[in-house]
Amino acid sequence: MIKIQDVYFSYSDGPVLGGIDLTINKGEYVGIMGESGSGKTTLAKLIIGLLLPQNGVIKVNGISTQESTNLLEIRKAVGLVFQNPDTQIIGETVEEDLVFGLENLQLPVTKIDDRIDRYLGILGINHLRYSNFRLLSCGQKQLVNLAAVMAMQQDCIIFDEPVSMVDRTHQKKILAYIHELNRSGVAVVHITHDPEELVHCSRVIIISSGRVAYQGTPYEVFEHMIRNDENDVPVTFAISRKLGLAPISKPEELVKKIWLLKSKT
Amino acid sequence: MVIKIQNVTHTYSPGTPWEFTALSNVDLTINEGMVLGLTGGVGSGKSTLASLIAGSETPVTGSITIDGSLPHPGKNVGILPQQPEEFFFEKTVFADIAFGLKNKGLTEHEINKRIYSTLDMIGLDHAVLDKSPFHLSRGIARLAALASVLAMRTKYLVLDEPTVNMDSKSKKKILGVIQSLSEKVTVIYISHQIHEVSAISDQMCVLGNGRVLFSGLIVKYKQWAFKENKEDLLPVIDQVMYGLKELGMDINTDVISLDDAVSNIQIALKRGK
Repeated sequence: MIKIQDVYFSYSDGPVLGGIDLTINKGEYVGIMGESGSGKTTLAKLIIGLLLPQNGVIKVNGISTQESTNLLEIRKAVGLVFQNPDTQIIGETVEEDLVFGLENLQLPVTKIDDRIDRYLGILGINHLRYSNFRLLSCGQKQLVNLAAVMAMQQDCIIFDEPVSMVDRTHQKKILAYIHELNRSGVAVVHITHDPEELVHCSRVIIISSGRVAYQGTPYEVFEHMIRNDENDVPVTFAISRKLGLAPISKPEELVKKIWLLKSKT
Repeated sequence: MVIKIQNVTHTYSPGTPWEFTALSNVDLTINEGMVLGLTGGVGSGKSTLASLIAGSETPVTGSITIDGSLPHPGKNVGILPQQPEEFFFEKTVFADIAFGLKNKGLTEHEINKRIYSTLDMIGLDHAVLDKSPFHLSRGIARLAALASVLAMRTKYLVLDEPTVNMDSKSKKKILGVIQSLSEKVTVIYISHQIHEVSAISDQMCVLGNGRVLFSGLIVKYKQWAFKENKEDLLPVIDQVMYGLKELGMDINTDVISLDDAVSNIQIALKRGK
Protein backbone atom coordinates (compact mmCIF):
# COMPACT_ATOMS: atom_id res chain seq x y z
CA MET A 1 0.00 0.00 0.00
CA ILE A 2 2.90 2.37 0.81
CA LYS A 3 6.23 2.07 -0.99
CA ILE A 4 9.19 4.15 0.14
CA GLN A 5 12.19 3.83 -2.15
CA ASP A 6 15.63 5.24 -1.44
CA VAL A 7 14.23 8.38 0.19
CA TYR A 8 16.51 11.17 1.38
CA PHE A 9 15.41 14.18 3.38
CA SER A 10 17.37 16.97 5.08
CA TYR A 11 16.33 20.04 7.04
CA SER A 12 18.42 23.19 6.84
CA ASP A 13 20.62 22.00 9.70
CA GLY A 14 21.33 18.48 8.56
CA PRO A 15 20.17 15.22 7.00
CA VAL A 16 17.41 13.21 8.67
CA LEU A 17 16.65 10.38 6.26
CA GLY A 18 19.49 8.86 4.26
CA GLY A 19 18.21 6.48 1.62
CA ILE A 20 15.40 4.71 3.45
CA ASP A 21 13.54 1.79 1.82
CA LEU A 22 10.32 0.54 3.34
CA THR A 23 7.06 -1.10 2.29
CA ILE A 24 3.85 -1.06 4.30
CA ASN A 25 1.41 -3.70 3.08
CA LYS A 26 -2.38 -3.53 3.07
CA GLY A 27 -3.82 -4.38 6.48
CA GLU A 28 -0.41 -4.59 8.13
CA TYR A 29 0.30 -3.38 11.69
CA VAL A 30 3.78 -1.89 11.66
CA GLY A 31 5.53 -0.39 14.66
CA ILE A 32 8.34 2.11 14.17
CA MET A 33 10.89 2.88 16.86
CA GLY A 34 14.07 4.93 16.88
CA GLU A 35 15.93 7.51 18.91
CA SER A 36 14.87 11.15 19.04
CA GLY A 37 15.84 12.77 15.75
CA SER A 38 16.09 9.47 13.87
CA GLY A 39 13.51 10.60 11.30
CA LYS A 40 10.31 8.83 12.42
CA THR A 41 8.04 11.88 12.35
CA THR A 42 9.68 13.18 9.17
CA LEU A 43 8.88 9.86 7.52
CA ALA A 44 5.23 10.14 8.59
CA LYS A 45 4.98 13.63 7.10
CA LEU A 46 6.59 12.42 3.87
CA ILE A 47 4.09 9.58 3.51
CA ILE A 48 1.08 11.91 3.56
CA GLY A 49 2.83 14.45 1.32
CA LEU A 50 3.27 17.18 3.92
CA LEU A 51 6.98 17.05 3.05
CA LEU A 52 8.43 15.93 -0.28
CA PRO A 53 11.44 13.61 -0.66
CA GLN A 54 14.55 15.40 -1.88
CA ASN A 55 15.58 12.16 -3.51
CA GLY A 56 13.74 8.87 -4.01
CA VAL A 57 10.04 8.15 -4.36
CA ILE A 58 7.08 7.51 -2.06
CA LYS A 59 3.97 5.93 -3.54
CA VAL A 60 0.63 5.40 -1.82
CA ASN A 61 -1.55 2.89 -3.65
CA GLY A 62 0.72 3.40 -6.63
CA ILE A 63 0.34 7.20 -6.61
CA SER A 64 3.46 9.33 -6.12
CA THR A 65 3.40 11.97 -3.36
CA GLN A 66 5.52 14.26 -5.59
CA GLU A 67 2.53 15.55 -7.60
CA SER A 68 0.44 18.07 -5.67
CA THR A 69 -2.63 17.02 -7.71
CA ASN A 70 -2.39 13.58 -6.05
CA LEU A 71 -2.50 14.88 -2.49
CA LEU A 72 -6.27 14.66 -2.04
CA GLU A 73 -6.26 10.99 -3.11
CA ILE A 74 -3.32 10.25 -0.83
CA ARG A 75 -4.94 11.88 2.18
CA LYS A 76 -8.19 10.07 1.53
CA ALA A 77 -6.19 6.86 1.80
CA VAL A 78 -3.79 7.69 4.65
CA GLY A 79 -4.43 9.63 7.85
CA LEU A 80 -1.89 10.94 10.34
CA VAL A 81 -2.44 11.54 14.04
CA PHE A 82 0.16 14.15 14.88
CA GLN A 83 2.54 13.88 17.81
CA ASN A 84 1.71 17.37 19.03
CA PRO A 85 -2.09 17.72 19.32
CA ASP A 86 -2.00 21.49 18.89
CA THR A 87 -0.52 21.26 15.39
CA GLN A 88 -3.48 19.22 14.16
CA ILE A 89 -6.26 21.45 15.41
CA ILE A 90 -8.52 23.25 12.91
CA GLY A 91 -11.79 24.10 14.69
CA GLU A 92 -12.49 26.11 17.81
CA THR A 93 -14.62 23.45 19.47
CA VAL A 94 -14.09 19.70 19.48
CA GLU A 95 -17.13 19.21 17.24
CA GLU A 96 -15.92 21.80 14.69
CA ASP A 97 -12.58 20.06 14.57
CA LEU A 98 -14.09 16.70 13.71
CA VAL A 99 -16.57 18.27 11.24
CA PHE A 100 -13.76 19.83 9.19
CA GLY A 101 -12.21 16.58 7.96
CA LEU A 102 -15.56 14.88 7.43
CA GLU A 103 -16.91 17.80 5.37
CA ASN A 104 -13.86 17.49 3.14
CA LEU A 105 -14.94 13.91 2.47
CA GLN A 106 -18.25 15.45 1.30
CA LEU A 107 -20.30 13.31 3.67
CA PRO A 108 -23.97 14.21 4.29
CA VAL A 109 -24.69 16.05 7.55
CA THR A 110 -26.43 13.09 9.20
CA LYS A 111 -23.46 10.82 8.51
CA ILE A 112 -21.07 13.44 9.86
CA ASP A 113 -23.13 13.61 13.04
CA ASP A 114 -23.17 9.81 13.38
CA ARG A 115 -19.43 9.51 12.93
CA ILE A 116 -18.67 12.25 15.46
CA ASP A 117 -20.96 10.59 17.95
CA ARG A 118 -19.41 7.17 17.31
CA TYR A 119 -15.74 8.11 17.53
CA LEU A 120 -16.06 10.48 20.48
CA GLY A 121 -17.94 7.61 22.17
CA ILE A 122 -15.22 5.07 21.37
CA LEU A 123 -12.65 7.30 23.04
CA GLY A 124 -14.99 8.13 25.92
CA ILE A 125 -15.03 11.89 25.31
CA ASN A 126 -18.60 12.58 24.14
CA HIS A 127 -18.89 15.01 27.04
CA LEU A 128 -16.21 17.20 25.41
CA ARG A 129 -18.09 17.58 22.09
CA TYR A 130 -18.90 21.28 22.55
CA SER A 131 -15.79 22.18 24.57
CA ASN A 132 -13.25 24.73 23.43
CA PHE A 133 -10.23 22.73 22.22
CA ARG A 134 -7.72 25.24 23.61
CA LEU A 135 -9.05 24.78 27.15
CA LEU A 136 -8.54 21.01 27.18
CA SER A 137 -5.66 19.24 28.86
CA CYS A 138 -2.93 17.80 26.61
CA GLY A 139 -4.25 14.29 27.16
CA GLN A 140 -7.78 15.33 26.22
CA LYS A 141 -6.46 17.07 23.09
CA GLN A 142 -4.68 13.88 22.10
CA LEU A 143 -7.93 11.93 22.45
CA VAL A 144 -9.79 14.50 20.30
CA ASN A 145 -7.16 14.27 17.56
CA LEU A 146 -7.35 10.48 17.57
CA ALA A 147 -11.13 10.70 17.17
CA ALA A 148 -10.81 13.28 14.36
CA VAL A 149 -8.49 11.08 12.29
CA MET A 150 -10.18 7.77 13.04
CA ALA A 151 -13.56 9.25 12.01
CA MET A 152 -12.15 9.71 8.49
CA GLN A 153 -12.06 5.89 8.13
CA GLN A 154 -9.00 5.78 5.87
CA ASP A 155 -7.31 2.55 4.66
CA CYS A 156 -4.16 3.37 6.59
CA ILE A 157 -3.60 5.46 9.71
CA ILE A 158 -0.23 6.61 10.99
CA PHE A 159 -0.25 7.13 14.75
CA ASP A 160 2.70 9.26 15.87
CA GLU A 161 3.10 8.64 19.62
CA PRO A 162 -0.67 8.17 20.03
CA VAL A 163 -0.73 7.55 23.79
CA SER A 164 2.20 9.62 24.98
CA MET A 165 0.06 12.18 26.80
CA VAL A 166 -2.66 10.04 28.32
CA ASP A 167 -2.91 7.99 31.51
CA ARG A 168 -2.59 4.23 31.46
CA THR A 169 -6.35 3.62 31.56
CA HIS A 170 -6.72 5.60 28.34
CA GLN A 171 -3.53 4.07 26.93
CA LYS A 172 -4.95 0.57 27.25
CA LYS A 173 -8.25 1.64 25.72
CA ILE A 174 -6.62 3.37 22.75
CA LEU A 175 -4.13 0.57 22.10
CA ALA A 176 -6.94 -1.99 22.19
CA TYR A 177 -8.90 0.12 19.74
CA ILE A 178 -5.92 0.52 17.37
CA HIS A 179 -5.49 -3.25 17.48
CA GLU A 180 -9.18 -3.74 16.71
CA LEU A 181 -8.98 -1.19 13.89
CA ASN A 182 -6.15 -3.18 12.35
CA ARG A 183 -8.06 -6.44 12.70
CA SER A 184 -10.89 -4.81 10.74
CA GLY A 185 -8.45 -4.38 7.82
CA VAL A 186 -6.99 -0.91 8.37
CA ALA A 187 -3.22 -0.73 7.92
CA VAL A 188 -1.62 0.86 11.00
CA VAL A 189 1.76 2.53 11.33
CA HIS A 190 2.45 3.07 15.03
CA ILE A 191 5.39 5.33 15.87
CA THR A 192 6.57 5.26 19.46
CA HIS A 193 9.51 5.23 21.86
CA ASP A 194 7.81 2.71 24.10
CA PRO A 195 8.17 -0.94 23.04
CA GLU A 196 5.34 -1.91 25.45
CA GLU A 197 2.93 -0.39 22.91
CA LEU A 198 4.11 -2.59 20.07
CA VAL A 199 3.48 -6.14 21.30
CA HIS A 200 0.52 -6.61 18.92
CA CYS A 201 2.35 -5.40 15.79
CA SER A 202 2.95 -7.81 12.93
CA ARG A 203 6.31 -6.14 12.29
CA VAL A 204 8.47 -3.68 14.22
CA ILE A 205 11.05 -1.51 12.48
CA ILE A 206 13.93 0.27 14.17
CA ILE A 207 15.09 3.39 12.37
CA SER A 208 18.58 4.67 13.03
CA SER A 209 20.50 7.45 11.27
CA GLY A 210 17.69 7.81 8.75
CA ARG A 211 17.62 4.18 7.59
CA VAL A 212 16.02 0.88 8.60
CA ALA A 213 18.47 -0.62 11.09
CA TYR A 214 16.52 -3.74 12.06
CA GLN A 215 13.09 -5.25 11.57
CA GLY A 216 11.25 -8.32 12.78
CA THR A 217 8.38 -9.51 14.96
CA PRO A 218 8.03 -7.64 18.28
CA TYR A 219 9.75 -10.42 20.22
CA GLU A 220 12.59 -10.64 17.67
CA VAL A 221 13.08 -6.89 18.02
CA PHE A 222 13.07 -7.07 21.84
CA GLU A 223 15.68 -9.84 21.68
CA HIS A 224 17.72 -7.68 19.30
CA MET A 225 17.47 -4.77 21.73
CA ILE A 226 18.69 -6.90 24.64
CA ARG A 227 21.61 -8.17 22.52
CA ASN A 228 22.52 -4.52 21.91
CA ASP A 229 22.37 -3.67 25.62
CA GLU A 230 19.13 -1.72 25.19
CA ASN A 231 17.22 -3.09 28.11
CA ASP A 232 14.07 -1.01 27.87
CA VAL A 233 12.03 -3.92 26.59
CA PRO A 234 8.58 -4.59 28.07
CA VAL A 235 8.88 -5.61 31.73
CA THR A 236 6.78 -8.77 31.35
CA PHE A 237 8.93 -9.85 28.40
CA ALA A 238 12.14 -9.27 30.36
CA ILE A 239 10.91 -11.16 33.46
CA SER A 240 9.53 -14.11 31.49
CA ARG A 241 12.78 -14.31 29.50
CA LYS A 242 14.92 -14.29 32.64
CA LEU A 243 12.77 -17.02 34.20
CA GLY A 244 13.10 -19.13 31.03
CA LEU A 245 9.41 -18.80 30.14
CA ALA A 246 7.89 -18.17 26.70
CA PRO A 247 7.36 -14.43 26.05
CA ILE A 248 4.37 -13.01 27.92
CA SER A 249 2.91 -9.55 27.39
CA LYS A 250 0.27 -9.14 30.12
CA PRO A 251 1.19 -8.88 33.83
CA GLU A 252 -1.80 -10.96 34.95
CA GLU A 253 -0.76 -13.75 32.54
CA LEU A 254 2.78 -13.63 33.88
CA VAL A 255 1.49 -13.88 37.46
CA LYS A 256 -0.56 -16.97 36.50
CA LYS A 257 2.39 -18.56 34.73
CA ILE A 258 4.72 -18.04 37.72
CA TRP A 259 2.05 -19.33 40.07
CA LEU A 260 1.75 -22.49 37.95
CA LEU A 261 5.52 -22.92 38.17
CA LYS A 262 5.27 -22.60 41.95
CA SER A 263 2.44 -25.16 42.08
CA LYS A 264 4.58 -27.65 40.17
CA THR A 265 7.51 -27.34 42.61
CA MET B 1 11.53 25.82 53.46
CA VAL B 2 8.32 24.45 52.05
CA ILE B 3 5.54 24.75 49.47
CA LYS B 4 2.16 25.08 51.16
CA ILE B 5 -1.00 24.56 49.13
CA GLN B 6 -4.04 25.38 51.20
CA ASN B 7 -7.64 24.74 50.22
CA VAL B 8 -7.02 25.61 46.58
CA THR B 9 -9.91 25.67 44.12
CA HIS B 10 -9.41 26.78 40.54
CA THR B 11 -12.01 27.39 37.86
CA TYR B 12 -11.40 28.19 34.19
CA SER B 13 -13.60 30.65 32.24
CA PRO B 14 -15.92 31.38 35.18
CA GLY B 15 -19.32 32.77 34.19
CA THR B 16 -19.08 31.43 30.61
CA PRO B 17 -20.60 28.33 28.99
CA TRP B 18 -17.09 26.79 29.23
CA GLU B 19 -16.79 27.24 33.00
CA PHE B 20 -14.81 24.31 34.35
CA THR B 21 -13.53 23.62 37.85
CA ALA B 22 -10.12 22.00 37.45
CA LEU B 23 -9.17 21.79 41.14
CA SER B 24 -11.32 21.56 44.27
CA ASN B 25 -10.15 22.12 47.83
CA VAL B 26 -6.61 20.86 47.30
CA ASP B 27 -4.35 20.74 50.38
CA LEU B 28 -0.75 19.65 50.03
CA THR B 29 2.60 20.31 51.69
CA ILE B 30 5.85 19.73 49.80
CA ASN B 31 8.98 19.74 51.95
CA GLU B 32 12.44 20.90 50.94
CA GLY B 33 14.68 18.53 49.01
CA MET B 34 11.85 16.20 48.13
CA VAL B 35 10.81 14.83 44.76
CA LEU B 36 7.03 14.84 44.76
CA GLY B 37 5.46 12.69 42.05
CA LEU B 38 2.15 14.12 40.90
CA THR B 39 -0.03 11.80 38.86
CA GLY B 40 -3.63 11.20 37.87
CA GLY B 41 -5.86 10.61 34.86
CA VAL B 42 -6.41 12.79 31.81
CA GLY B 43 -7.96 16.11 32.88
CA SER B 44 -7.47 15.38 36.59
CA GLY B 45 -5.90 18.79 37.24
CA LYS B 46 -2.17 17.96 37.23
CA SER B 47 -1.11 20.70 34.81
CA THR B 48 -3.42 23.23 36.46
CA LEU B 49 -1.79 22.55 39.82
CA ALA B 50 1.62 22.82 38.14
CA SER B 51 0.90 26.24 36.70
CA LEU B 52 -0.50 27.46 40.04
CA ILE B 53 2.58 26.28 41.97
CA ALA B 54 4.80 27.92 39.36
CA GLY B 55 2.90 31.20 39.68
CA SER B 56 1.78 31.19 36.03
CA GLU B 57 -1.78 31.48 37.33
CA THR B 58 -3.39 32.48 40.62
CA PRO B 59 -5.90 30.19 42.35
CA VAL B 60 -9.50 31.42 42.41
CA THR B 61 -9.70 30.53 46.11
CA GLY B 62 -7.15 29.26 48.63
CA SER B 63 -3.47 30.02 48.69
CA ILE B 64 -0.08 28.75 47.56
CA THR B 65 3.12 29.91 49.21
CA ILE B 66 6.77 29.04 48.66
CA ASP B 67 8.87 29.63 51.75
CA GLY B 68 6.11 31.98 52.91
CA SER B 69 6.06 34.06 49.70
CA LEU B 70 3.86 33.96 46.63
CA PRO B 71 5.23 31.88 43.72
CA HIS B 72 7.32 34.03 41.40
CA PRO B 73 8.33 32.29 38.15
CA GLY B 74 12.07 32.46 37.51
CA LYS B 75 12.78 33.79 41.02
CA ASN B 76 11.70 31.21 43.56
CA VAL B 77 10.31 28.58 41.18
CA GLY B 78 10.98 27.35 37.66
CA ILE B 79 8.58 25.43 35.42
CA LEU B 80 9.08 23.18 32.46
CA PRO B 81 5.61 23.29 30.88
CA GLN B 82 4.12 20.28 29.14
CA GLN B 83 4.92 21.53 25.65
CA PRO B 84 7.98 23.69 26.25
CA GLU B 85 8.81 23.74 22.54
CA GLU B 86 5.99 26.26 22.12
CA PHE B 87 7.80 28.74 24.34
CA PHE B 88 10.92 29.06 22.19
CA PHE B 89 11.15 32.47 20.61
CA GLU B 90 14.82 33.23 19.85
CA LYS B 91 16.82 32.42 16.73
CA THR B 92 19.24 30.07 18.47
CA VAL B 93 19.08 27.74 21.45
CA PHE B 94 21.86 29.77 23.07
CA ALA B 95 19.85 33.00 22.87
CA ASP B 96 16.78 31.25 24.25
CA ILE B 97 18.59 29.92 27.32
CA ALA B 98 20.46 33.21 27.78
CA PHE B 99 17.26 35.28 27.79
CA GLY B 100 16.25 34.48 31.37
CA LEU B 101 19.83 34.75 32.61
CA LYS B 102 20.22 38.23 31.11
CA ASN B 103 17.02 39.27 32.87
CA LYS B 104 18.56 38.00 36.09
CA GLY B 105 21.42 40.45 35.55
CA LEU B 106 24.21 37.92 34.94
CA THR B 107 27.32 39.06 33.05
CA GLU B 108 28.17 37.66 29.62
CA HIS B 109 30.93 35.54 31.14
CA GLU B 110 28.59 34.17 33.82
CA ILE B 111 25.92 33.43 31.22
CA ASN B 112 28.33 31.48 29.02
CA LYS B 113 29.64 29.51 32.01
CA ARG B 114 26.13 28.78 33.28
CA ILE B 115 24.88 27.64 29.86
CA TYR B 116 27.82 25.31 29.14
CA SER B 117 27.73 23.76 32.62
CA THR B 118 23.98 23.19 32.36
CA LEU B 119 24.36 21.48 28.98
CA ASP B 120 27.11 19.28 30.42
CA MET B 121 24.88 18.43 33.36
CA ILE B 122 22.16 17.04 31.09
CA GLY B 123 24.58 15.60 28.55
CA LEU B 124 23.51 17.77 25.64
CA ASP B 125 26.06 18.45 22.89
CA HIS B 126 27.20 22.09 22.81
CA ALA B 127 26.64 22.10 19.02
CA VAL B 128 22.92 22.45 19.72
CA LEU B 129 23.49 26.01 20.97
CA ASP B 130 23.94 27.43 17.46
CA LYS B 131 20.87 25.68 16.08
CA SER B 132 17.41 27.14 15.68
CA PRO B 133 15.19 25.82 18.49
CA PHE B 134 12.42 25.46 15.90
CA HIS B 135 14.32 22.85 13.88
CA LEU B 136 15.14 20.43 16.66
CA SER B 137 13.58 17.01 17.06
CA ARG B 138 11.10 16.90 19.91
CA GLY B 139 13.45 15.01 22.21
CA ILE B 140 16.36 17.39 21.73
CA ALA B 141 14.03 20.39 21.95
CA ARG B 142 12.78 19.09 25.32
CA LEU B 143 16.33 18.79 26.63
CA ALA B 144 17.09 22.33 25.42
CA ALA B 145 13.96 23.60 27.20
CA LEU B 146 14.97 21.75 30.37
CA ALA B 147 18.40 23.38 30.11
CA SER B 148 16.83 26.84 30.06
CA VAL B 149 14.85 26.04 33.23
CA LEU B 150 17.78 24.44 35.07
CA ALA B 151 20.10 27.30 34.09
CA MET B 152 18.00 29.64 36.26
CA ARG B 153 19.05 27.61 39.36
CA THR B 154 15.78 28.09 41.23
CA LYS B 155 15.29 26.12 44.45
CA TYR B 156 11.91 24.75 43.37
CA LEU B 157 11.25 23.09 40.04
CA VAL B 158 7.96 22.06 38.49
CA LEU B 159 8.48 19.59 35.66
CA ASP B 160 5.28 18.85 33.75
CA GLU B 161 5.63 15.57 31.82
CA PRO B 162 9.32 16.23 31.09
CA THR B 163 9.90 12.93 29.28
CA VAL B 164 6.87 12.80 26.99
CA ASN B 165 7.84 11.76 23.43
CA MET B 166 11.47 11.15 24.37
CA ASP B 167 13.55 8.08 23.62
CA SER B 168 14.83 5.91 26.45
CA LYS B 169 18.34 7.40 26.37
CA SER B 170 17.01 10.95 26.75
CA LYS B 171 14.56 9.82 29.42
CA LYS B 172 17.36 8.25 31.43
CA LYS B 173 19.37 11.44 31.07
CA ILE B 174 16.53 13.55 32.44
CA LEU B 175 15.76 11.17 35.29
CA GLY B 176 19.48 11.06 36.13
CA VAL B 177 19.64 14.86 36.19
CA ILE B 178 16.66 15.07 38.53
CA GLN B 179 18.15 12.50 40.87
CA SER B 180 21.49 14.27 40.86
CA LEU B 181 20.08 17.66 41.76
CA SER B 182 21.30 18.90 45.07
CA GLU B 183 19.23 17.96 48.07
CA LYS B 184 18.29 21.59 48.35
CA VAL B 185 16.30 21.52 45.14
CA THR B 186 12.68 20.48 45.49
CA VAL B 187 11.08 18.92 42.45
CA ILE B 188 7.42 18.49 41.60
CA TYR B 189 7.49 15.82 38.91
CA ILE B 190 4.26 15.45 36.97
CA SER B 191 3.77 12.37 34.87
CA HIS B 192 1.30 9.66 33.97
CA GLN B 193 4.23 7.29 33.32
CA ILE B 194 3.78 5.46 36.60
CA HIS B 195 6.97 3.39 36.47
CA GLU B 196 8.95 6.55 35.87
CA VAL B 197 7.34 8.83 38.43
CA SER B 198 7.29 6.19 41.16
CA ALA B 199 10.95 5.34 40.52
CA ILE B 200 12.24 8.82 41.29
CA SER B 201 9.74 10.18 43.82
CA ASP B 202 9.99 10.26 47.59
CA GLN B 203 6.33 11.07 47.91
CA MET B 204 3.32 10.70 45.63
CA CYS B 205 0.15 12.68 45.14
CA VAL B 206 -2.68 11.33 43.00
CA LEU B 207 -5.34 13.66 41.62
CA GLY B 208 -8.75 12.58 40.34
CA ASN B 209 -11.36 15.03 39.05
CA GLY B 210 -9.46 17.90 40.62
CA ARG B 211 -9.28 16.38 44.10
CA VAL B 212 -6.49 14.69 46.04
CA LEU B 213 -7.15 10.94 46.04
CA PHE B 214 -3.90 10.00 47.73
CA SER B 215 -0.94 11.79 49.24
CA GLY B 216 1.90 10.05 51.04
CA LEU B 217 5.19 8.18 50.88
CA ILE B 218 6.00 6.02 47.87
CA VAL B 219 5.77 2.69 49.76
CA LYS B 220 2.34 3.58 51.09
CA TYR B 221 1.35 4.70 47.61
CA LYS B 222 1.97 1.26 46.07
CA GLN B 223 0.07 -0.47 48.87
CA TRP B 224 -2.80 1.98 48.43
CA ALA B 225 -2.95 1.53 44.64
CA PHE B 226 -3.00 -2.26 44.95
CA LYS B 227 -5.55 -2.27 47.78
CA GLU B 228 -7.85 0.11 45.94
CA ASN B 229 -7.61 -2.02 42.75
CA LYS B 230 -6.05 0.88 40.88
CA GLU B 231 -3.69 -1.36 38.92
CA ASP B 232 -3.27 1.34 36.25
CA LEU B 233 -1.54 3.42 38.92
CA LEU B 234 0.96 0.65 39.73
CA PRO B 235 4.16 0.03 37.73
CA VAL B 236 3.95 -3.30 35.83
CA ILE B 237 6.77 -4.74 37.93
CA ASP B 238 4.77 -4.06 41.13
CA GLN B 239 1.59 -5.45 39.56
CA VAL B 240 3.44 -8.74 39.12
CA MET B 241 4.95 -8.75 42.62
CA TYR B 242 1.73 -7.76 44.43
CA GLY B 243 -0.26 -10.14 42.20
CA LEU B 244 1.95 -13.06 43.28
CA LYS B 245 1.68 -12.08 46.93
CA GLU B 246 -2.07 -11.91 46.68
CA LEU B 247 -2.17 -15.46 45.33
CA GLY B 248 -0.44 -16.51 48.53
CA MET B 249 3.20 -16.62 47.43
CA ASP B 250 5.67 -15.90 50.19
CA ILE B 251 7.51 -13.15 48.33
CA ASN B 252 9.24 -9.87 49.11
CA THR B 253 7.36 -7.25 47.04
CA ASP B 254 9.77 -4.42 47.81
CA VAL B 255 11.78 -4.15 44.57
CA ILE B 256 13.55 -1.29 42.89
CA SER B 257 14.75 -2.99 39.73
CA LEU B 258 13.93 -5.78 37.32
CA ASP B 259 16.84 -7.86 38.59
CA ASP B 260 15.49 -7.46 42.13
CA ALA B 261 12.10 -8.70 41.00
CA VAL B 262 13.51 -11.73 39.19
CA SER B 263 15.72 -12.60 42.14
CA ASN B 264 12.80 -12.32 44.61
CA ILE B 265 10.63 -14.49 42.34
CA GLN B 266 13.37 -17.14 42.11
CA ILE B 267 13.78 -17.14 45.90
CA ALA B 268 10.03 -17.53 46.34
CA LEU B 269 9.92 -20.38 43.81
CA LYS B 270 12.75 -22.20 45.61
CA ARG B 271 10.91 -21.90 48.91
CA GLY B 272 8.24 -24.18 47.45
CA LYS B 273 10.71 -26.99 46.88
